[in-house]
Amino acid sequence: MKKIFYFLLAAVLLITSCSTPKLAIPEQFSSVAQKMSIKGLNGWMINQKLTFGTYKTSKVKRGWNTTTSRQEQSSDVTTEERIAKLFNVKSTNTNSNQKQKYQYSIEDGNQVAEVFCSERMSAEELQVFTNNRWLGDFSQTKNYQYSFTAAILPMKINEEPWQLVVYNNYDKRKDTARKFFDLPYVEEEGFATNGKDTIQVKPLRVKNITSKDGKERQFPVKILGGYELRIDGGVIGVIDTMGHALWIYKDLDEPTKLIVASICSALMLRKIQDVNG
Amino acid sequence: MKRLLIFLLLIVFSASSKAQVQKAATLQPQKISGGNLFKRNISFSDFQTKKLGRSIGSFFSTRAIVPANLLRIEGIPLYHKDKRRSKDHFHFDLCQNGSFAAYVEVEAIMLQNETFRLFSKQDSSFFGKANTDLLLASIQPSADTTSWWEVAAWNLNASKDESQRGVIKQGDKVISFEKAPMLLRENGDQNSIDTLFSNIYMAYQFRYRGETIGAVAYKESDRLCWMKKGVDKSIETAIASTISILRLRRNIYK
Repeated sequence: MKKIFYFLLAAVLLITSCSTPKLAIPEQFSSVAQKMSIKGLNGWMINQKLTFGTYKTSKVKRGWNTTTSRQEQSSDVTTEERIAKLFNVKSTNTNSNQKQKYQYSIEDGNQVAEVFCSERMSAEELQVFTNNRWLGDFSQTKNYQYSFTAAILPMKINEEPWQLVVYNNYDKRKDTARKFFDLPYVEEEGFATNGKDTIQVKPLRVKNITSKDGKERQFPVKILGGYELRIDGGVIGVIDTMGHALWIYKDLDEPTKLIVASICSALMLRKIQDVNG
Repeated sequence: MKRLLIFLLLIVFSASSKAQVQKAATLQPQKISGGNLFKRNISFSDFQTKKLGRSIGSFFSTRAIVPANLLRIEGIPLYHKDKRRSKDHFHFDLCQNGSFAAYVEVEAIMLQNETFRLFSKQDSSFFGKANTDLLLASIQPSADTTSWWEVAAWNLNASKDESQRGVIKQGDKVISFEKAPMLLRENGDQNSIDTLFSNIYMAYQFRYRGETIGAVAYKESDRLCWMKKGVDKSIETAIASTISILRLRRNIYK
């Protein structure tokens, strides 16, 4: 899976190096939405700040990005493990964990919200050491769990805190990818809730993108282009992670717009990438 | 007879497989400490295990001699049959706030029966279908020594392409558990902002009458378990005992 991922990454980089791709937003939504370009994502990351539309963040305080790895008992016995055992080939089961936390505040001049974020990735890999110069050593992802979670605290009396969760779960046993260009099957979902209202955060995997000159191009596989935010089935915002932009529904009330801006900034500031991301 | 009934119950439960990520944000997270080279016993929440003992036989396995296994060319097997028997037999006392709460005895059996044939299509036995992977345990609570809880679990060593699950039973009370991805809180401290954070874990999910009442992380590095507050005392003891069993058991698939 990793090899396919790197191949696709190289293909995406090759295509995107010529132009800045962005999500093709349907006319139906773009006509009733306001586009905000997000600045501050590239370049010097120390004292990083984001600005988009009327929103600006404080300096982003980041904790240590920690990675740990250890050999653990296998969560399931794969065919590759059985074959390695049969041919007396050494194989190990490794579990790696990566964590990061960051926090900042976001404001639009009238309202402020504090945002606390945490990312966590846990992956189990089978590593096979063939001791053969032609075959080489290889590894295989058995499963991984990626979760991004944030607490959004609007600085207003009687305002409930919001909890944002976006997660991916991959299990090789449930994977349906068979052909070369098939993407691995990953369960993914996201939501933000304050206990009363819920915003669904849906990852957008797209083939069609718009290049800088306005032409539509097509990728050979679907890639993560952004996130769609919905309340009660209606789209209230689109986060374009490729084009670094937020499209927000014009008629939303200001407190909800602040929550949407907080979700957007929190997602854009992530550092850990899931295998499928 | 009782164990046979539990076993049959387990087969009935095996039909209800769940795949999607389960959300259980109401469960209270607890850190698990111990269970390492320096401290074999574990502790979590108010519970601690004590007097953990393991039989010598748990460290060995017996293997059938199959002459056909010698059929190898340059180290490549033409035929290989792996018939092996391993067990893990251990017991411990479960204490709550220092006082004795239950005595737990566990016996896990793994009968491997895997066959490989180089020149023919591999059948299901190569993929572990013929393996027997069973864990049986009894929990004797100190409060009522006449009413034992029985535990039966299936495929905990994951040698078969089936889900890893089990049941805990006492009279008409049946708690089921199954390995599943779960969205769970990582910190229960109400004064910390981290209490709003939820992460996805591979965990054994405990369900009683359709409700999730507990969970324990599957991966050794995720040293966490989750329990619902306010559950019946005897159910709480049964779940704490099973959490201890699942954390203290060894992988006996060789």
